[in-house]
Amino acid sequence: MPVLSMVQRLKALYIPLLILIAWIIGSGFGFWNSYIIPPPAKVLASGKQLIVSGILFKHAAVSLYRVFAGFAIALLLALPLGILIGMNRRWVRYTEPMLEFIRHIPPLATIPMLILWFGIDETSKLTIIVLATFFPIYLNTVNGIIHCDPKLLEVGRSFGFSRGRLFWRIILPAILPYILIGMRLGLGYSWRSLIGAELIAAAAGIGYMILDAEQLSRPDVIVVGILTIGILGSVIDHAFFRLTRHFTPWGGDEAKHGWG
Amino acid sequence: MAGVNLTQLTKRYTIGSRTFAALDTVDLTIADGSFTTIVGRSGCGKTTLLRLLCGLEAATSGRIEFTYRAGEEETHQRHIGIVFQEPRLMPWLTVAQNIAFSRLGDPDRDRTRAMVESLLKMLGLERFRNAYPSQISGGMAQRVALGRTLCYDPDVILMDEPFGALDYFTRKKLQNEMVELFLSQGKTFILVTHDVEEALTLGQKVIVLEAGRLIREFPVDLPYRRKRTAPEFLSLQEAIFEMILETNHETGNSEGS
Repeated sequence: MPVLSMVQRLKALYIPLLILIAWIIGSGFGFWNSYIIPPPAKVLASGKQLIVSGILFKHAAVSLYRVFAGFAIALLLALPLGILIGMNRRWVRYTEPMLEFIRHIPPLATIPMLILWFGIDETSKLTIIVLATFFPIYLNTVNGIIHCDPKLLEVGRSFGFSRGRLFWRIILPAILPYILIGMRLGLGYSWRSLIGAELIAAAAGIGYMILDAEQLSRPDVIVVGILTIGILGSVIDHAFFRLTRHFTPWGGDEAKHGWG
Repeated sequence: MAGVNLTQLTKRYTIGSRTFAALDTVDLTIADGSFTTIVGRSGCGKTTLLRLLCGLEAATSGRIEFTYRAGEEETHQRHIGIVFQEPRLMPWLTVAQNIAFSRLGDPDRDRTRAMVESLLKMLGLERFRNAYPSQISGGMAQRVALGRTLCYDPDVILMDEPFGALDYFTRKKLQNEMVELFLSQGKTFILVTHDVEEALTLGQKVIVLEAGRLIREFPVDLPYRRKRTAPEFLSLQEAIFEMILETNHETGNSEGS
């Protein structure tokens, strides 16, 4: 890796390092109550203990399973529907008002009803993730089809392409960057909504671990939970960014965002 | 190979309550294996004519016929290929894949591969075969677009001001390459341009269109690799210029509905 690129990457660590230093100094000099902000050493020790005992992995695995399962269901629903509506725009007037209505309801607001319908098992949490993830994927897919360059379609038509070939060979590759952006946004939304759902109704998962720690007055475990959420979310986003770059090597807009 | 016969070809558009004739009862015969250029001002119907020829739009009335040499008609499926004003390359495909794009669905992949290789060589794009359109220059992109159409192997090649967006030097270079290509391919070429010099450099016949009507045909009986300073070239250029300037731009351009 070139030295310059290494230096650029290290710049990303400046702010976290500054916060860590301020945290160490503030805790060391007793600037705040250790119950409100636990010292780094205590958080580190708790983290180590949670890792060694396997508790952190157990909760993280449950949360990850929910994220990926909910995300997969949302993708299976949103992608075909987005393509169907995008390709048949006269249907938009039937579907849009209802979808727009649902889009403005925060998924977490539906939790009481979902618990009533599905209980506190996996179904209610997966439904929340699906609701949160569906719209970024659906809207980006429709948007991609609407913005597909008609001049490229004309090229296909001039070579006698059938409707099917126009879709598979021009529309689908052209909207791939839009779909990937939608998926990446959806993944972030699903992660956020999951933690919210786990905080309210769960018996396992990172959100549950944080809520349990609150009831046991263990702010150090809460911080471990928050850091785990941030790290897992960032790692997943970065992996998705790499995947996006791999599948759109021609350099779609999405490649400009994310870690280098 | 094929020639083209246009009979009373008309295309009208309706904008609001007015109907405009973009092309008005055009009769034209384009010989098999010839190079025809069509000149005229913006809005004279040049592009409409090409779009009708390649089937991107339907004529309001009139007829387009392809004429074939004896015994050839049945075997020919690919009548027309077009090179647009902008390269219109697929951004997700490499140069080589873009050239092969026009033959998608052709079961004879070996033939397609061989054609792509030969076109890459002929158009000087061998070194850029794996580059994406965003990584090549405008001139190169236009060459790829030309390669894509040639790979389609049509009987008639239409070109809609393909060099319009290029700089002077690239334009001249590609004009020369176009002449070589025409001489080597023996296909029917129809090029639309607003540049009279370009029309005379390339065409064996120059068609002047004005307000959707065919005003006049100028045969260009000059050998190729034409000198732009030759007296015959200059006098033809002058005649075409005068014809375009003298024709009233408004005459016949529109008619009430």
